[in-house]
Parts: sequence; structure tokens; C-alpha cells
Amino acid sequence: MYKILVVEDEKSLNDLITMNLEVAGYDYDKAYNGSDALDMIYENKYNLLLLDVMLPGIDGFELAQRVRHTDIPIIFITALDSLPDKIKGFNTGAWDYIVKPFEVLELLARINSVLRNKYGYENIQIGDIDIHTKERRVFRENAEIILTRTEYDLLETLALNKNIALSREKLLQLVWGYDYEGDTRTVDVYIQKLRKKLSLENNITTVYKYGYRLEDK
Amino acid sequence: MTFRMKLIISMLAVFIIAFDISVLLFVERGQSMVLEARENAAADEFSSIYNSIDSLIMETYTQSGSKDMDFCQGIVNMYKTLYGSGNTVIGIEKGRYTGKNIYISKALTAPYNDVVISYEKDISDFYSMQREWKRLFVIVNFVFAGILFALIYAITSYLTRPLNVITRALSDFRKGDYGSRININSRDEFQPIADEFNSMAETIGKNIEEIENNAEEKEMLVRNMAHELRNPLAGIQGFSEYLMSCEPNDEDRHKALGYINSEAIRLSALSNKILNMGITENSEISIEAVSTQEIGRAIAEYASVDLKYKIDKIFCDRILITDMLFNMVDNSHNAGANHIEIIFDKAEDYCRISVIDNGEGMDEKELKQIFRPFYRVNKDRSREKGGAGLGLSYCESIARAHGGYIEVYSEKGKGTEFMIFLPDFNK
Repeated sequence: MYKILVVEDEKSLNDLITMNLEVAGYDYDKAYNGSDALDMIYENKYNLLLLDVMLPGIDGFELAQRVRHTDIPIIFITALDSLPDKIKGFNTGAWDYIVKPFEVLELLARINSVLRNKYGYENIQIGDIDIHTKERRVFRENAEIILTRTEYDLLETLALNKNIALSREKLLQLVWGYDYEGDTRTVDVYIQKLRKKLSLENNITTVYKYGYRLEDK
Repeated sequence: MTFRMKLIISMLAVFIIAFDISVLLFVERGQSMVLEARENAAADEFSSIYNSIDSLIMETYTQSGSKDMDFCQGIVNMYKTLYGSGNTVIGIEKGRYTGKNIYISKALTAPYNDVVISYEKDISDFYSMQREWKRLFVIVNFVFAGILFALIYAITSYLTRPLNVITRALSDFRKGDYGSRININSRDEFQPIADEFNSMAETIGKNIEEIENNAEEKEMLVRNMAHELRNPLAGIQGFSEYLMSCEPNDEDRHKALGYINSEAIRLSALSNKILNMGITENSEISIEAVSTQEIGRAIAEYASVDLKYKIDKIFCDRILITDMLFNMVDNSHNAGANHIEIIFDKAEDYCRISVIDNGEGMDEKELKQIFRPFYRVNKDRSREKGGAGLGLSYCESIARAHGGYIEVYSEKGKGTEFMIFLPDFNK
């Protein structure tokens, strides 16, 4: 399990990020200022840092600079959206830069992308289903189940955001793309297909008037 | 052409012309003197030869009483061989003037007055010497010009050195080194240029620094504003998203709802403060004579403070000044003060309200920034109480709107004293 250090001085935002990390199945630690974060980085092993910039004491840019040699990937989460600040952020070796306010799904997607780039593809396991994300193949009790491209994309999106309800519109956006002009009923059709093919009737739950959630408990 | 080159060429030209004219005049004068002397010597020699010949012939004529031309010829020939030499020719009507000799002739006394004694002296050596001098003059002229050039070169390089210093300083300044100054100590016409430049550079440097500071402050303001606005927004957006898409347990649901509520309150408090500041800065305030006791009572109701009145009335907008004092009392409490004293008194042309506390105080670095919007001395504690770091900039804008100002003295560990100066209209 990947372990993430969240450095954010606002208690509310720190809780927000960590609560969502918990749902998405990551291990995490919280730090509320730069110097505490520095101590924690030296004492523990983290796979990723989520870093605010305007921190009391050592600020985010300086912290990133100081821990650069540890080779831990960094994503900045900050209210500073000016180009010079972004450039400064990337110059410290950051992998990504997210401006507040942000969508939680986007944060999770970016975290996933950084982790994949850094540590390689990780297979996802939901119940007795194995998703080999690199080869885009799905196995159930070691027997491969053939999925179409769209079915696979939908499954992976649900699996990466497991336990999080995704609205039909969001799913359309994530799986079919922003410019897809289809009906949200398309989503319902593909969800039915996935449930049947993978026997996930109990795992893919319908969220009333909203969308779907892949549960893995 | 550089100024220095112009200087060198013009100086050289003036010197050479002056030198040449004086040398030429001198040489001319010398030569004519030499020539004159030679002519005088020739005339003397001729007259002594002539006199000798004339007296010998006249003596013989007196004795014999007859004109003897052969004898005359013999005497002249004798003198011819006696005095004639390489450059002197004596004869009877034979010589002529060539331009390079001295020629004198005179007829003998009668009856020999048909005999003319001629004297001819060649002075071509004088003319060749004159040529030699001219050549020498040309050589001397070149040597002199060379020496002169070296001297002038050295002198101009010394004289124009301040120009190089000035040029270098200007160019450094242009390249953005606003600390560039002209360091010369020449006490001539360059000195005022240098002094003027230095004081100009001083002014420009200050202005640029101010502009940079303003830009920096503005940037800081924008960054802080972004931070203050986006953090609660991110909280509200994120937690509502969390509630919609995850199925949190009761504890997490309450936590999320609590945060959404507190972040919304924080945003609305912030927007109120920003609006307030805009109101005080852009609108007329109603200044009236307000009883200090009345203001004191309002504050005493709000917090426990020690009040001292040395004046009865101050001229202000009652609501704004009371609000300002509430803000200051809050600040003192946040700084951990347990004793706050407010004194109303007079200071020259102003009414003064002093707020003195025994809180933790501030150091110089913090003091410099406290009036900046969004600056917080103690970030964590202030935010827990809902502060955004706008209190003192609000207070300052109130004081400014009254035509007054705020001074602050503080010592770390001992406490802080704010003095609000408001114009006294009672004079």
C-alpha cells in the first residue's frame, strides 16, 4: 500500500485530503507545518508528498527543494495559480501542481498518475477480480474475461475510485471523453454489461439519482 | 572622434604652428644678421684694398705727373694675387652680381677715373649652410612633434580620466546596477556632473526601490488574498463532494458538515471585512464631537479594560472608532494580554488614544508588517479565532479616513502600545 504524507496547515483541508485518501485506500500521515514534515520525511518512508506552498515556517517550495535528494515525488496543492509560481513549483522537481479549489476526483486521478509513472502499473484487486492495468486485461479466478475497450475503461475508472460514487456525467467525462455527446443512459447500459460479465452485481451499486460506486470492503 | 583625440589634435596643431613660426622667425633673423655681417666685412675689405690701390697710384702720379695705365694694371694685378683667393675676385670691370655673391665696384680717382675696381666675394657657403638649417629644422620639427604628442597624450589621459569613470558609472546604471555611483575627486568641472549624477542616482534608486516594494506588496496581497479565499472554497467544495460520492459513517459525515459550515462562516467574515475596508476607504465618514466616556463605556461592555480620560471629547466617527478599538482589544487578547489600558489624551494638534497591553509583544520584523493586509503575527492562533489578518489594515484605513494615523511601539515579551492620533478640531 502506498503511503502519502499530506503537508497542509489548514486543518480542514488536511482532513479533507486525508479522508478522501482513506476512502481511496491509501495509507497517509498528516503534517501541519514545514519543519514537522521535514522530520517525518527523514523518519518514515513515503511514496508521495502532497504539499501546500504557503506554510508557516519552511514554505512548500523550500521544503521541496530540501527533500529533493530523497527522490520522493511531490504534488503541490496550492492557492497560488500564477505562472511564475507554477514554474517555481515545477523547478523544485515537482511532478504535478494542483490549484485550489480542486475536485477530489481530479486529485485522486493525478495521485494515481504520478504513482504509476514513478512506481509502475499496479494490479488492482476487487474481490476475486484481478485487473492488470498495464496489459489492460482482466482475470477472474485466473480465467481471463474479455472486455471491450470502453468496458475496460469504465471498469478501471470505477476501480481506481473504488468506494467513491461517480455521477453519470462524471463517468461520461472520464470514460467517453469531454466532447462525447451521448446520453447518460449509455453509462447505464455499460454498467449492466460489466455487472453481468464479471458477476459484480453486488459490488457495483447504484447511487440513487446520482451514479454508481464500485464497492470493495 | 573622441573628445580626447580632438584635444590632442588641436593642442598639437597649436603648439606646432607656434613652434614653427617662432623658429622660422628666429632663423630668418639670424641669417639676415649673418648676411649683414658678411657684407660689412666685404665692404671693409674692399675699401681698404681700394684705398691702398688708389693711394699707390695717386702717389706715383703725383711724382711722375703722367698717367701710366700699365703701372695701374700692374698694381691692380698685384692686389689681385695678394688678396684674391677662392672666393674673392678682384679685377677691373670684370665681376658681376650672381645672387650668390657680394659685388662692389668703384672708379679710381681722376685721371684714372676710367678704371673701375671691382670686388666680388662668393658666399655660396652661406646659402648651403642655410639649406642645412632647413633640413635640421624639419628633423627637429618631427622630433619635437613626437615628444609633444607623448606629453599631450599623457596629460589628456590624466585630464579625461573622470570622463571614463563617468561613462562606466552611467553604463552600469543603465544595465540596472542602481547602486552605481561616480567616485571622482577632481574638484573641476567634472565634479558637479558627478555630484549631480550621484544625487540623481540616489533619487532614482529610491523610487525604483519603492516601485519594486509596491509591486512586491501588491503581489503579496494577491497571493494572500488567493490563499484566504481559495482555502475555504476548497474545503467547501471538497467536503460537499465527499458527502455526495462517499458513504461516510456518522462521525465523518458530521466532521465534513462541520467543516463546510465553518469554512462558509470564515468566507462570509472575510467578505464582510473586505467590504468594510472598501467602505471606509471610499466613503465620507461623519465626524462629530464624541464623548470619550461614551466610547469608554462601549469598550468596557465588550472587554475588561483600564480606562483613563484626560480629555472629554474627541472628533471622530463614533461607530468606526469604537470598531477600531474593539479590533485592538481583540489583538491584545490574542497576544495573550491580561491587562489592557486605554488612555484618551492630547498630543500637540491631535487627540490621542493609546491602547497599552502586557501581551507577548512583537519584534521589529513583525512590527514592520502588521499593517499589511492578511499579515498575521501568530498564524495558527489567529485563524482559530477566525482572523484573516485584516484587523490592523482596517484600523489604519479608519485612522486615515479621519486624517489621522497610527503609531505602534512594542517589545518582545513585554507588551505593545498602539497610539491612534486623530485631528483635534477644538483649537
